[in-house]
Amino acid sequence: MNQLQNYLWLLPVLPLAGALLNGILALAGADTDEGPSRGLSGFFGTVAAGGAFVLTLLLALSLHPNAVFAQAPWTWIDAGSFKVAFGFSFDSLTAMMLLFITGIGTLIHFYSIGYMAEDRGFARFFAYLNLFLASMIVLVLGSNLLMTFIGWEGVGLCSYLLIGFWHKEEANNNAARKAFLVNRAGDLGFLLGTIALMALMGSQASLEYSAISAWFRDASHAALFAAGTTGAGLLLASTLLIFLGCTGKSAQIPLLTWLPDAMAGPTPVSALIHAATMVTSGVYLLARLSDMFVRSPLTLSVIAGVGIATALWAAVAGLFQNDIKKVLAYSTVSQLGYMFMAAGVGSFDASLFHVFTHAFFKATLFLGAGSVIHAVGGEQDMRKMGGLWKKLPLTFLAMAAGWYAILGLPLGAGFWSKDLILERAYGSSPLLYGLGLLTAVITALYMTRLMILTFFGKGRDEKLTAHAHEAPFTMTLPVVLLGLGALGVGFFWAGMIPGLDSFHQMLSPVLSPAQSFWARGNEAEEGSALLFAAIGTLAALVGAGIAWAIWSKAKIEAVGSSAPKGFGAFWTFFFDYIHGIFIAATKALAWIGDKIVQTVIFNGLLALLIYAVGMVGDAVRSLQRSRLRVNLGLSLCGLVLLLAFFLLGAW
Amino acid sequence: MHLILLLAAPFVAALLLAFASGKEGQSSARLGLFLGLLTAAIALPLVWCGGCVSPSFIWFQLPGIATPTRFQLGVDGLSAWLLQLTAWLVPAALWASRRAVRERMREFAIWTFLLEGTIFGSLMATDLVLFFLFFEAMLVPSFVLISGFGGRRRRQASLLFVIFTALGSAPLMIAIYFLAKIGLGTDLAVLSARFGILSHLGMLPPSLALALFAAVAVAFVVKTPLLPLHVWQAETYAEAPAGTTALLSGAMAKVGVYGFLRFVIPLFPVEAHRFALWFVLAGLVAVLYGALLALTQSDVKRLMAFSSLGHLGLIVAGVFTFTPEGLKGAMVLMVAHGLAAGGIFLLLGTLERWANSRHLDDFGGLAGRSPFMATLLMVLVLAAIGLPGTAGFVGEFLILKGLWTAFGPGVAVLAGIGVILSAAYALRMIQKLLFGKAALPLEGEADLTTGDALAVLPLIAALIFLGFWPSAVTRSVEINLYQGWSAPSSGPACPFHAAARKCCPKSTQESADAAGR
Repeated sequence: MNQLQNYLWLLPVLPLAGALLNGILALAGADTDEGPSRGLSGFFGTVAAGGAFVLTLLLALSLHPNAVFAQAPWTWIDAGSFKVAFGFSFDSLTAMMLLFITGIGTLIHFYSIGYMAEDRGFARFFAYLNLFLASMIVLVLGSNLLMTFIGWEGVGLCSYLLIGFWHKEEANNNAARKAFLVNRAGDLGFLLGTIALMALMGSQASLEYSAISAWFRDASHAALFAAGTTGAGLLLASTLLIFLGCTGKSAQIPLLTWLPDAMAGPTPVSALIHAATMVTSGVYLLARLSDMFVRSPLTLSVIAGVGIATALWAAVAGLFQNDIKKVLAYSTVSQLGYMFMAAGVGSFDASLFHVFTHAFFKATLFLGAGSVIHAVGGEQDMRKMGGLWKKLPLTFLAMAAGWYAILGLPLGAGFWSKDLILERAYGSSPLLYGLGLLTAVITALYMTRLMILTFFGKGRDEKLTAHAHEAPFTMTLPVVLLGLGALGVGFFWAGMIPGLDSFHQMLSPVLSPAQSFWARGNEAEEGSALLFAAIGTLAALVGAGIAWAIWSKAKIEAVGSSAPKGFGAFWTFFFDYIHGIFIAATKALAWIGDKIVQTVIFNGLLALLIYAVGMVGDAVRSLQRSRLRVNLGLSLCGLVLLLAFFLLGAW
Repeated sequence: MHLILLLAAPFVAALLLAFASGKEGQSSARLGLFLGLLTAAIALPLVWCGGCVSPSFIWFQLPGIATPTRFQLGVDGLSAWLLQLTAWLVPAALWASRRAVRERMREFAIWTFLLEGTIFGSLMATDLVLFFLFFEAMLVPSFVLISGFGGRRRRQASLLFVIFTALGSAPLMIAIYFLAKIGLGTDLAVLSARFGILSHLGMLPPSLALALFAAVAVAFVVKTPLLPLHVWQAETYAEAPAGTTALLSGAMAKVGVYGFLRFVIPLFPVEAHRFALWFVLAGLVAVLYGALLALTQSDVKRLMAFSSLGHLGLIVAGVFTFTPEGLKGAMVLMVAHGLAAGGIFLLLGTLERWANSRHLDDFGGLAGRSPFMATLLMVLVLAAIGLPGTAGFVGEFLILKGLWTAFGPGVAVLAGIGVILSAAYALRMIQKLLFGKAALPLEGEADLTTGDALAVLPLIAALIFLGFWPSAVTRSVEINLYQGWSAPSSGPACPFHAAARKCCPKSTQESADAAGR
């Protein structure tokens, strides 16, 4: 084996050290006038991220496709027969995830040096960003479900801290809290699903991914969860509960309300956490547990259904938004829906490929949007922008590349990955394919609208757009690099071109047992790849054309807040209304507990008790005060009683 | 001798402080810190020793009872960790209180040491009478601390506390007397052995056993507390001085759970198993009720009091699953909650001093004003809600697993809802205290001083260390507690089983001749 594998622990420790260093800098410099040194903390933060990327690259290059690097320094939890290792494992799936997480992560750290330059909390920001990277690395590097869970809640915490980064604004804090709580509901699903899985595996229960996969692949265990047994119920419960955890982290129905609100955080955060990396961890987890999920067809159909429903709903919601970041947020939710649909039809490799390409084009779009927002002095309402392409040519070109990729126009990154998903969906159910295609049209619609409102036409608010200028080098460089990625990374798995499928080859050792198991039970219809590509391109062009027809000449006025109104509001906040029911019920219960149970019942009883004690006390006091003889008499009686008790009490 | 030294240490410390000059608070605080740390250092080796028993001697004889009360101390993995918790919280509490108590520091320290000593005694006594003595004696220092150093409504709070706990332990006293009276003795090892034999032979009438079980259990239900005997808790925790609340919630509440583990379950294994589900449900009611009420509180210390109610409920639920996971989880969560809640109460004490208020709406924007304070409070609150990487997570997860294993998914889901709600109230508290804009101008220091931070930093370090290496707790518990936890069918239960045999052959002799009598 390779010497390098002894350094797996260094992957999370590097950014963790960066986080600690920046945290100390932030606290130490808190009471100085200018705050801690920006150069120092930006340098440490970016180098820590870059170091993790370089180490990942070295590890990935030395990894044999079928091999696994593993390291388990100590036993973490030890409760009798139940043991959990504090372990890391690095296989080709981990390698793929970590390469884009640390790669894009480093670029976004670099971008933040420029974006946050004016901010007083610069060092604190880098501390959180580094901590996020460390958690994300633990999430994908963990060798068992609970290790992943450390990262899972760790990224949730960092997301909370970064959404509420500007914590003087109450709205930001509320958004942050909402993100944490909705995710906690999902996290409970994760934990209970884990416990159900252990109950299913019985005496051989282990949380190691390798053990779980091996257990499910062992055909002799199939009888344990055959239809009608308790095991079948446990498997269903376990998969559905873990999927619930995924819907929280990856913003799917029903736990998706937090992601649009999460746009309250600084834009680099939206790009890194709420588009490229954290929100895809649900898709990662499904792929990691693919051997388990393919054995529960019902759950897979639920996942496919939830995926396409989310994709369609969010795409429509994206049409109603005027806030540039909100459009991208709903777009992210929608694209994640595609990924879940792919996983739901048993195509985990296709879903991961979309995770991969999406990370590039969505990070491009978000960072580009960040540059735009930076240029117009913090305004996010697209209705006030317009005509910016001349002033921000580099940003425009990069975002155009992102737009090209997300629409799925020929040879862009989304062209390969989205078409692959639609093709696989068609093989499973033409209905899924049809809805997926419809979503693609709407995607083209809202994305083209975003580009038109932001970059074309005339500047609608002279105050904002007159002085707009291109961002500094630290910001434009990452945007341009990612823009190039958005055009190029699709060629890692260009289905129609023979030989260009290294992505597929790389993941095959991890995913093919599950996918071939699934394929045996579900004969897929094969269509012509070229035809699918043509239809997909046509759908994008139709959407873009309609958008051009509607918005290129339209007169747009910025009235009131950027939030959607009327039906748009109803559609956008539909799931918030449903969550509202649960919140109201909790509040009502809490009110009953506080005002009725505690105040009336318990405190009432208490008052009675105190009253009784007081009465006895008064009676005793009156005896003590006045009559010595009675007092003595009572003492004597007491003594006799005590003696009698002691003497006669023996039986 | 080690155990006797440990028990004596806090009392000697109190005595030394009594002789020291009381004029200047600062010097008393320093002396208190030193003596507290010294005591903690004496307690530390117990974690590795696993189990040991002190020499035993006849102490006194209750009238009308044949078997004498013996003075004997014993420590195993269970009590060792709770002793650590108490021993390390005391210096932290003393040091963190010095600015609030100021010139009365000497008295405060004396009574705090007496409280520590009585908690030590309850955790080490192997004789029921001895235990009861310390258990009741705990009331005196707590009463003085609350009524002498507490908030505006300290009188009512301290009375409420004393009345409730005293009433709760009255049945325990009667039960102990009765056990001694019918010739079973009060030595725990002997008693549980004889109990086992008696119930094995069917000589103990079930109704009698049930009555004794209830009488013993109720004392610990009050102390922990569980619903509906929790009424004293919120008021007491809120009105007591922060340093005392940290001890009440961090250490004394655990003596309640300890009582279940050490006395109720080993003495009445049949009844404990029979009513296990009821205790689990009572625990879960406390979890949900505590979390819901914490959501509505506006007094920040009351909020944390209800949070404690919920956590202790979860711990009790874990204990009564009678699964290795549940019991170990309960053990880890006890330590975790003691450290986290203790630390939070200490920081809240500083906040109360700055703002002269405990009302949530009077705070805000602390993250900007006092980033160091904000950071530490944030970390402790995250530890309290069981974020992975802190000890609380391991405890909560193991308890959830134990609940599912023992009673199915339903109870696990109920407990899980409590876990979500705990995040809800914790984040509400954090948001009101740390974020937004300042409501009232605060007095006092601009930020937590290094000295004050040193009181809570070790607690945070321990929480994170145990979060990654919980085996430090779970392994030491394993050494000798299973005897007391085993199913009733497997014979008589003796909590000091392994320990007694290893260090002190006398105890086994005694049970032999006791059986002969």
